[in-house]
Amino acid sequence: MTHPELECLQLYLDQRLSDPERMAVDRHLGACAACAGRVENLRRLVTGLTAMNELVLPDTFASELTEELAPSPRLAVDPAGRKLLVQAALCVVILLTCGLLLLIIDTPVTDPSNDILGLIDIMLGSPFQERASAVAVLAVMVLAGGGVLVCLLAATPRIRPQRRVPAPSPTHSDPPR
Amino acid sequence: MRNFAAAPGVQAIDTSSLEDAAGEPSDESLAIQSLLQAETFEELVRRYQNRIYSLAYRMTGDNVEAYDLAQEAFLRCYAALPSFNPTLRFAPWLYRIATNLCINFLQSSRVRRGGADPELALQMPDRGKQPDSLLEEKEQRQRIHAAILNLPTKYRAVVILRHMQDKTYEEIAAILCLPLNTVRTHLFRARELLRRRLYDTER
Repeated sequence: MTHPELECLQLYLDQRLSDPERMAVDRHLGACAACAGRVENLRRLVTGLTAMNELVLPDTFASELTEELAPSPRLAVDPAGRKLLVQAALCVVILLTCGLLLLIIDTPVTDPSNDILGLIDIMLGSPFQERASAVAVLAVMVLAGGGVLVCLLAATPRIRPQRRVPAPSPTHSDPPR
Repeated sequence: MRNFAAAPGVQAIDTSSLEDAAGEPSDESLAIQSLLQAETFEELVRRYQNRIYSLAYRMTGDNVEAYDLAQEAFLRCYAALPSFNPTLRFAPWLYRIATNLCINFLQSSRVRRGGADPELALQMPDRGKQPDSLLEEKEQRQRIHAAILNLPTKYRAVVILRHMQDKTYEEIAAILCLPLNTVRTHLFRARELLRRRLYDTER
């Protein structure tokens, strides 16, 4: 007696055999206890697998997830727009910084060393009249720093939802493992 | 809108009818609406959340990771909605995203086991059974679950999709981007391994 392959028996259970093949297996199973036992084992396995419960998430899962997706005013700009915005902000900061530096450098200073190094000298220790330039440089640095900070904030990626653990269902009657 | 290449086995639908038999909007219709209104996506999530979470849990064996993977799957799905072709089925597309995420996760070194007992999250219907038989059933489920987790990832995915998500061979082939014969072979080997581990009395 030729026994059908195990794969053939699985396909038989999945109803993926043609009618003639299925009828041949039916006939064989009627006469072969060993193959009938194999099919019974397979059937038990398939029944066990399909009987596995579907896990249930809390009802709030969908709404919480969608809340994260809803665009906030800052995130209303699409990624391409946000990139353009950051580039524009950077340009403004650079132009502003250059303009103010030029203004400071062009301002007549009584000190003969009228360059950037001279300005730093002035910042480190100078009479009241020259201290105004130092304050201006400081203002430029604060402005530039603020501009960079704004750019970084604008470029911050979308905040992802945090991991949440589903709460155990209080209605469940099974004892814990 | 970019077109999504039709995968083998992904059944095309008639877009002129975007409502199901009960008059509810179809998944594909909701997917299109979600492009304009993020809130509409909530209904899609609600429809699939338990199935995707169950898939992730059976794949990973960790309910915390499964929850995270389910979230990630829906977020990626939402982000990829502009590339979704509404003339194709939404479900296989979502399943593909979720399954790939799970497989990538399992192939990475981030796998850890533990966390709360996921069985606690089950909402079981009361069938009027005695506690002993309930306990037996639970033990049986745990044995099967443990046996599935011992399968190689590629076999695990196929057996979960076939028997726990009720997918056809063709749908599994489309979800996993595998030839039909490969699905058949993987399923055969997976069930053989499970049968030997759980019920083999012949050897």
